[in-house]
Formats: sequence, structure tokens, C-alpha cells
Amino acid sequence: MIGKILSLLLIDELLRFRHLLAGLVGRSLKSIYTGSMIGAAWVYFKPLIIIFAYYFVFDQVLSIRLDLESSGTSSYSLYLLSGLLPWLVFSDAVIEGASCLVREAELLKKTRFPIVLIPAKAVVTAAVKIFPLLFIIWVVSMITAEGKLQGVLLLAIWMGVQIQLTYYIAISLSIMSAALRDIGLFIESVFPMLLFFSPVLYPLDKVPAEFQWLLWLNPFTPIAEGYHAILLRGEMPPLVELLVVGGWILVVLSISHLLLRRSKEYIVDWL
Amino acid sequence: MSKLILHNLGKLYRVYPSPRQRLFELLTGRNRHHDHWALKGIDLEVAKGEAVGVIGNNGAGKSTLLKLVTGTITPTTGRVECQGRLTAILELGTGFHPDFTGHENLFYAGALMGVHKHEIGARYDQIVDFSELGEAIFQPLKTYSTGMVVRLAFSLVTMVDPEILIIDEALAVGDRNFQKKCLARMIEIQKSGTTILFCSHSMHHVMQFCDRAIWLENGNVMALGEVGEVVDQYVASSLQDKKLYNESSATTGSAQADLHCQVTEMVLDPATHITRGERLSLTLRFRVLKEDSYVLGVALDQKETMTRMVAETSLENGLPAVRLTPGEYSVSMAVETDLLRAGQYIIYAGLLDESLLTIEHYLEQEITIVDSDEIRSPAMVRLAVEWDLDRTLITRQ
Repeated sequence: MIGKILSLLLIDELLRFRHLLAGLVGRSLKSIYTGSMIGAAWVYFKPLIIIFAYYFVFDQVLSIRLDLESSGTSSYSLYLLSGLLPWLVFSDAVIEGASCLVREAELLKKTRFPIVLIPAKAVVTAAVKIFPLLFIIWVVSMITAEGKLQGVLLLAIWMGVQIQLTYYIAISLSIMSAALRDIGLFIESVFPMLLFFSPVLYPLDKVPAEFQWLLWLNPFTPIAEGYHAILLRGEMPPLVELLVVGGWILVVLSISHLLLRRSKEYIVDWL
Repeated sequence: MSKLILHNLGKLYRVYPSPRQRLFELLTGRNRHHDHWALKGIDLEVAKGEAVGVIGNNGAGKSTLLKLVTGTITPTTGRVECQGRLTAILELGTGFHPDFTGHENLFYAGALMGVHKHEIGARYDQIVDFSELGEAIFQPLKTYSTGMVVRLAFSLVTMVDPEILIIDEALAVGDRNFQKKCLARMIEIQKSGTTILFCSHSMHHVMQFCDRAIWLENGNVMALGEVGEVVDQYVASSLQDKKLYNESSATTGSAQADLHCQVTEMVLDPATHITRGERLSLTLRFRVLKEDSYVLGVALDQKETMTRMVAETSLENGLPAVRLTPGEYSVSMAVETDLLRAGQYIIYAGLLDESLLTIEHYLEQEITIVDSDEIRSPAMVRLAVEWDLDRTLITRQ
């Protein structure tokens, strides 16, 4: 029964090949810093710089303040980062995931393992690179804003939900771009634009009501709103958001199953 | 007990007019491809400890077969039954990463093959020793030569106690010494019970190493059986394809009217079997239809090694092409066989044009050279050497 559910969720093979998955993730993290002096520290250096820069510019220099009631925090940089860090995971994973099969063609042609491991690698790598920093945001928000201690569990669950959604998106896109390379290139150039159609850079309620539906078309909108609820207000994400995210997961999961089934026998030949 | 069984194995490739059609089919499920069978109806049973060679021309389906057995591609029909750990070298490398050192790659590629890092660790010294990489093992793989990569890959796949080993053309890139070492290692693990599937263009390696061979052509099995027989059949067919010198210049197939001359008879003495060292005499009768300058040529193809030896009148003694007027002619020649190894040969004799570009006409005949002392040697030619062994000790250490 459990096995059936895991296989339906496309994670049974990830569990069976978890050592290999860990090796693949380790390899892609390592390839960032091999030959460098401070080694693994480089992985977290870039996001730390971003965090510091945003804090310095928006809070210290410009002193931008938000409406505490609706946003949960008055610090713009806190608001920004609680959505931006998950966004970085999302966009890294999707962009990398979309072209990952093509990129790892040599590997797939020469060794046997389930292809879902490759998009999973892209997603887990992105998560490992950035999610730990989100806990820093959580600590800061606990101290300065309304964050509550038990929020850390909610935060971890919400990260899991995001990883789940990202994983299925990455599978679908990676298969499509194996069939037609343009998909990967298209995603790479267009996907970053989605940031501007999500409540990351600005609070959702600042958007005129007649345009808000546009933001809800973006699968990242409910995810970002969830992080805002958990990190800034210390609340469960509202039911509507949970339903929308659940819907998205169902849709991309079905697409993933469909594409995996249709390409199963041929995908390696396309690479 | 059989270790590796292939049942009616087949691989169908879907060929699309363009990648766009591929995406269209993927998304809509509507048929936009036509079928191409790369491999069809392969039945093979390989016993434990047996080595089977896979031979055939480029594009015959050899690599497809090995990839199916390895599992990197999924068969369209049939199935592969294999018990035990399978390791493989397909084309170059086994999924190494260029940015990592040889050392890191061993563990990484080991994980890909399903070999736990403890196991690699336990054999680490053996693997590195065999690869002869020395200190280079700590350099990134991208700095390696192809030979070094293959050495590392070969060491890895043979040192982790595979029960089934698949090798595709891996030996072709190593140097002589390493090839020898690899073959020795392959024989060693084969003796310890490893089943081997070996694909190579070197008939010599296949003959030396395999018990049986499978010959593929256009995805079909042409022959399967004892290695010597299959290799003979394959070589004979590829020699036929090649004709004398090369296909494009051979005009023998053209209409009779175009013939400038015609070889009517070739007489060999002895006719079919000759003992090495005997003189082979050859008489050729031919008819010249059009006055021209001609060159006489004879070629000898060694079947097993696929080597060719030739002689032409123009090269032989500086004698230029001979001017011949229409009429009947006869020519005799004698070939010394001391230097030739025992085996089967095809002898071609005929006339070429003055420039040696066109073969006007020729006849062919098979002949076997037998050797009284029965030494089977892989050499193409036996040298005529006078030995002078001096038994006095020159230096002592």
C-alpha cells in the first residue's frame, strides 16, 4: 500500500536509489567549488551576500517600511527574503531541471538508473544550496516579528511541499526538452520573468484587485504566500492556498506520469 | 546454469521527421513517427564463464545489443535475463565526470554501477595499480588522455568482481601493452566464472578470447556459433564486399560491351592446398579486346587477419604497362610461400589499366596454405630468418 503510494508520487525509486541520489547531489555541489580554497563555503556565499545586500539597502539605507497589519512585518527586507529565497530554489531547480536530461545525456546513455533521479538531483541540489538560509530568516523573524517557535515544523513541511511541486515540474519539463531542446532554452529565458508575477517583490494586496488573478496563475504565488504566513505571521497557510498548491501538484504529477509513460522506452534515444 | 539469457530481443527506434514532431507526439499521443528496427529477434544464451564475441560492420546493431543487455536502453520486444552484478564499458568511459579526479570518479562511477563505496575502498589499491595511473589518479579526469580514461574504466569494471562483463570496443584505444594486460585480465576473470560479452572490430582479439561469436548484420543474426566458424563467415563476406582493391574502381560488373579485356582462365598448381614453402605457380589466360596498355596484377587476401598482399608488373621490376593488341594471351607467374602463414587465402589475378585505378577484369580462387609444423601464430607473415645462437656467456650479473 505504502509502496503503491510512493510509486504514484514518483518517489519510490528515489528512495531505492537514495545513495546514488546523494552522490549525484554531492557531485553537483562539489563541481561548484572543486579547485577552490574555501571549498564548500562557496555554496552558501552567494545567497548570504544577497541576504546581506537586501538587508543593508532596504532596511538600513532606504528604511522601507511595510504595513505591519497586512504583511506581518514592517521590515521590507525580511518580507522580501522570506519569498525570494524559496523563489531562488524554485527557479534554480526548474531551469536546471528543464535541461538536466539533455545535459546528463552521456551518463544516461552509459549507465542504468531511473531517469527521474536526474530532475530529482536538480531539485534537491537547489534545495540544499538555499533552504538552510531560510532558517536564518526564521530565526530573525522569531526575534523581531511575530514568528513562533513551532513555526519551524510548519516551515519544514512547507519546504517539502515546494520541493514536491518543483520535482514534478522539473520531470515534465525535462522530458519535453529531451524531445525538443527549445523547451529548455525557452524556460531558461522566460522563467525568471515569473518572479515579477508573484508576491515576492511586493505584497499581494498592493496589486490592483482586477489584476490579482494574474498572479494566481503562477504556481509560485500560493507557495510564496505560504512562506509569508509561516515566517512572518507564524500561521498555517490559509486553506485556499493549500488547495491551490494541492491542485497544482495533482496537475503536474499527472502530466509527469503521462510523459514518463509515453517516453519511457525512447527517452534515452532522444538525448 | 545459464548466466545471461536473451529472449527474442528487439529494439525499435522511432524515427521522427523533426524534433518538433517528437514533442507533438509526446504531448498529444498522436503518431508522428515511422519505425526502424535496429535489432530484431535476438536469442542468445550465454553460460556462466563463457565469452561471446559480437561482430559485424558498423551500424549492424552491436552497440544496441550491448546497451540492451546493460539496460541503458529498454527493449521493444523480448527480455534480458541476467543474474548477478553486471558491469560494462560502453564506448568510452562509464559515466565519469570530467571535473573530478580519477580518485573521486572511482567512487562516483562505482555508485552508478551499484557498487558501494566500502567495496571500492577495499579494492582501491588494486584498481589504481592496474590502471597504471600512479599520481595522475589525483588529477581531474579532463586532463587524462583517452587511453588513461579507458584504463581507469577498465580497471574499475573488472576489479569489482563482475558476474557479467560487457565490453564495447574498449581495447581499441589502449596501447599494445595495456591491451595485452586487459586481455590477460579478461581471461583471468573469465576463468573465475565471469560471463563476458565482448564487441570488437579486431577479429584477432575476438578469436583469441571468445568461445563463441554472434555476427550481426542490419539488426539480424547472420551467424551464431563457434568463434572460428563465425569469424570465417564474417570475414569471407566482408572480403566479397570489398572485391579486388576497392569496390568503386572495380568495373567487372559492368556490361560485357565495355570490357577492354577478359580473363578467361586461372590455373593454380597446386590447385587447392599448398604446403608452406612450396612454390605456387599460376597461369592466367586472357583475351584483349581493345588495344591499350595493361598492367598485370595478383593479390592475395589472408582471410583470418583480413590482410592483403599484392604484386603488379609495373611495380615489380620497373616494367611499365605492356602495350597489348587484341588477341589471346597467356602469362605465368610463381609465388613463393615461405613467408606466408598457414591459413585460408583468396587469390585474385587480372589486368589493370595503366594508371592502376581501374581493374579491367579478374578472376578469383580460394587456396589453403598448410603448415607442416602446425604452429598457430597470430602473425600475418612468417619471416625468413637465419638464426645464429651463440651459447657463450657474455656477461653475468
